[in-house]
Amino acid sequence: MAGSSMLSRCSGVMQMSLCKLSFQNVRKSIKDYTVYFLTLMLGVCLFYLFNALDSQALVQGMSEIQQDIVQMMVEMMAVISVFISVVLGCLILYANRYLVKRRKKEFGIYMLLGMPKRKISGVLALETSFIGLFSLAVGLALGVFLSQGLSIVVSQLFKIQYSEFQVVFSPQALVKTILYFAVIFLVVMVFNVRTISKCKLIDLIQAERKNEQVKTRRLWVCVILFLLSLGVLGTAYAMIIKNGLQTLDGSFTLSIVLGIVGTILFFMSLSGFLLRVVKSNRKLYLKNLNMFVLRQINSKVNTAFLSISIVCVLLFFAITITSTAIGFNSAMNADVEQSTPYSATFGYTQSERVDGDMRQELIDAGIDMDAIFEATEQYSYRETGVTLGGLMGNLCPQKSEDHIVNGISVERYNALMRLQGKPEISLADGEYAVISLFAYLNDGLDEILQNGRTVEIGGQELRPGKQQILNTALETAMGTNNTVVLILPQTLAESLPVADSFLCGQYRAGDTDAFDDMLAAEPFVSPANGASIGVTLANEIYWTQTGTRVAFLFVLLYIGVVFMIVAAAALALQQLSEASDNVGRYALLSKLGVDRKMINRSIFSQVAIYFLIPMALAIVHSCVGIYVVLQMLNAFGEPNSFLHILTAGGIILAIYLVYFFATYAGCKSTVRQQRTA
Amino acid sequence: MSTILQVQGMQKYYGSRGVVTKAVDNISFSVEEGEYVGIMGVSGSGKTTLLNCISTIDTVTAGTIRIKGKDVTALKGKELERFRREELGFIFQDFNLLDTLTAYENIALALTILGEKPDEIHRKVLEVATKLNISSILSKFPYQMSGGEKQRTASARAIITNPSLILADEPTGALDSKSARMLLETIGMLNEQMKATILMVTHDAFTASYAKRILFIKDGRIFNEILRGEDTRKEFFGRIIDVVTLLGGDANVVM
Repeated sequence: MAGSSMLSRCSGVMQMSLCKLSFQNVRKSIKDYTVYFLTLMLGVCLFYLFNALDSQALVQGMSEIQQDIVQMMVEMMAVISVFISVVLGCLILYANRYLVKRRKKEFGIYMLLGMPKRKISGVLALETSFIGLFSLAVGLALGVFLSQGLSIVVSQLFKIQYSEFQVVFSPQALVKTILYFAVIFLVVMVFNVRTISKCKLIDLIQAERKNEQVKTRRLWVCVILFLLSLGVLGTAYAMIIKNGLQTLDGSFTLSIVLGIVGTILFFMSLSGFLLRVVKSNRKLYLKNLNMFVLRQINSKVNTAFLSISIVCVLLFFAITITSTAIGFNSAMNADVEQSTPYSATFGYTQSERVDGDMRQELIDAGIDMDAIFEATEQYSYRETGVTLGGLMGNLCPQKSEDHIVNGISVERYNALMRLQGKPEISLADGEYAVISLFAYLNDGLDEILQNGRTVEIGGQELRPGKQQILNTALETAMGTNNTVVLILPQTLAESLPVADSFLCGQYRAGDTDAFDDMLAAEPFVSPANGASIGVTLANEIYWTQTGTRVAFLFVLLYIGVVFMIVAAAALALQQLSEASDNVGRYALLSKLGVDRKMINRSIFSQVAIYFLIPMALAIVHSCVGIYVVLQMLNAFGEPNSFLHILTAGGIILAIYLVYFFATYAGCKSTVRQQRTA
Repeated sequence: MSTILQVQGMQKYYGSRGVVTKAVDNISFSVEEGEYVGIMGVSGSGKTTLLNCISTIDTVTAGTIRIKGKDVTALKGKELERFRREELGFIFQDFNLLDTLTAYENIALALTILGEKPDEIHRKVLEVATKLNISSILSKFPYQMSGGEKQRTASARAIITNPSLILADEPTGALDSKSARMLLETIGMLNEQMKATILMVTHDAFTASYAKRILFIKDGRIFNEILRGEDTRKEFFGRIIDVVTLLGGDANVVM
């Protein structure tokens, strides 16, 4: 009886000391692993931030269309978040592996003192929970704080007026974040417990002494691998540039796979190749600590090439995704202005019906046109019998050759311009003018206008009447209905058969949301002649496009920034753990009389090279990637995205630099601490 | 022959106020060029403190240490580091070669940090490697070398800068007897063939017997001094043991 109570007291004391031990270890770790905590916190923060978009305070002020769009965004984020959590989970496992590796000796001492493995696992599990709770709390706090800022951005994008300041908070996102990260930490814990239970005491005690054996590859192997990698990368670049992103088929996948293989080969052979090159230049090789730095990198790159390749690929995705997200955003922004010249455009939903008095038919169908619209204009497209290939000849892009080119009379065109409040044009008999909304055709069209190319329509020879291409949309439509439209002299146009008709109108001033609601019940059927008329509303297009744009932007930014953090953190952790491996080497250098400045410079070069090499290749990759994406964007309109891409690149580089300097400072202090100790 | 090292009235105290430990208590001696001097004493006798002060890693409380006529106790910061680089060579307990560098690079490192000309470095490395008979292993990494090869590489690194004084702190402390003998023979060779001036600290009579002159230190003071003269190493070893017994005996009397 007394014995058992003694035992339980004993185990109680043991429990307490375990707790205390883990807590102290964590406190120690906070100092050592700033980068680890930083990354965990940022991960939690981003996760919350992008999942908290549907917060109540924000949704309140939105119209129904906007709420639908936000709902869509939230659903998209939910899917993306699963992916992101897997990525972050991998990063945390990776970081954790280093944490455990660095402390193997400490665990060995616990074991030597007779602490059972189960207890050590317990200490580690407790530590993981402390770290998890701490980073979760701080990350969530940061996330809630930053989401105030993000909500302002969102409200501006959706043009919502904030009547008063409200704290934006999403309980769903909070629960979700906690749940996801709890699962991640649970996995980490299981992983840690397994690592410890698999460990042999002798390995733990001697962990410090085990050095990686330096494997050197033969020079010719390095050279061949290096050239091979360049070849593979070149092929991948050529394939993706040729095929673009128009079709995501086998060749796209193949070029991505080739790119990854090429990257791995590149890093596998690079350090050996570099070593030989530098070694052959004695002036560089035998200067200061160059030799030492090079060997340091060589000794690790041989085994670390895989992780560097992964970092490089992640950086590539981060840069490309972030840059194009911002570029895409501006491209679509330009598009939405262009495609909504009127409040509403009506058109027949029956394909056989092409003409009629649409305004009267709508009134018959019960629409109070006078109450809603300030002014309306109806116009018809005429069949010209000309294709884009016929108009442009060999200047026409092959894929667009068969596009039909419709015509419109100059009188109707001017009426529409009056409605839009834009300048009218004059056109003499025997002349034509060109409207094109697609930037990729403009060079070719410019040339035919300059050359005065004639075109035969309705048995009449026409020459260009205006030198410039017109680029005003004629209707409010989702996307553009016609690639190229010809403006024709009135008599000629009226003699041609009607292809299709539209009625465009501008709202009266007032409650436009109410007008939208009045027109929501499309299609409208005229009881008089059975004509069925559909409508496209400017607001509908605007919000759909804005929503898609914002959702696209957020998803891409989310992924891009997470990738960036993962890549930078992986590099930073690797460097920090390496710094502690290098402490002995630096201590020796110091004994040999190397001064602190020279040692710091050597640490700087090492960290810089590690950060620079994957970044350099990633930038080359990204240039190709961004080029390909820009090609695709050009089809949407003319995005002036170069500046945006530079901005994005700047943001990415800034994050990277912060991690770089944090790592450099961390490595320096690790080496210095150990040296003075 | 000129005087390389001159220690004058050196003192080193640890602690403060009432509790002062005199680690080195007024020691004076000098070492001439080309000498091979051993410093012996039991743990805590102050011999390592003495060596640390000479090697400029530690500072003295009082007295002067002149190396080649220069008072090293007056040097500070960068000057000190440069002095250490240029005038001193070290032989450490466990070779202390950088495991990431080849033998060639380990030896060359001592010169590259002095900023010597690359061609000169290359020539000197090959020259010292020939003298120490390690030319064939220059491209090997430490883990590919035998213990003896590692020692000779470490010795080559110590001598290549042509230092005024080579300091060895318990060089055989971590070695088995065979490796210890090999290392001591290498150090002896540095002294005899390459005319290096060596100051070695040890508590081991066998190790000390390789030196030409031995200073015995006890409680921070010089207790005795013996010269090898024309004796064989075995005879010298016997004399060292006699002194050590005397030292020990004295301690027993106190106890």
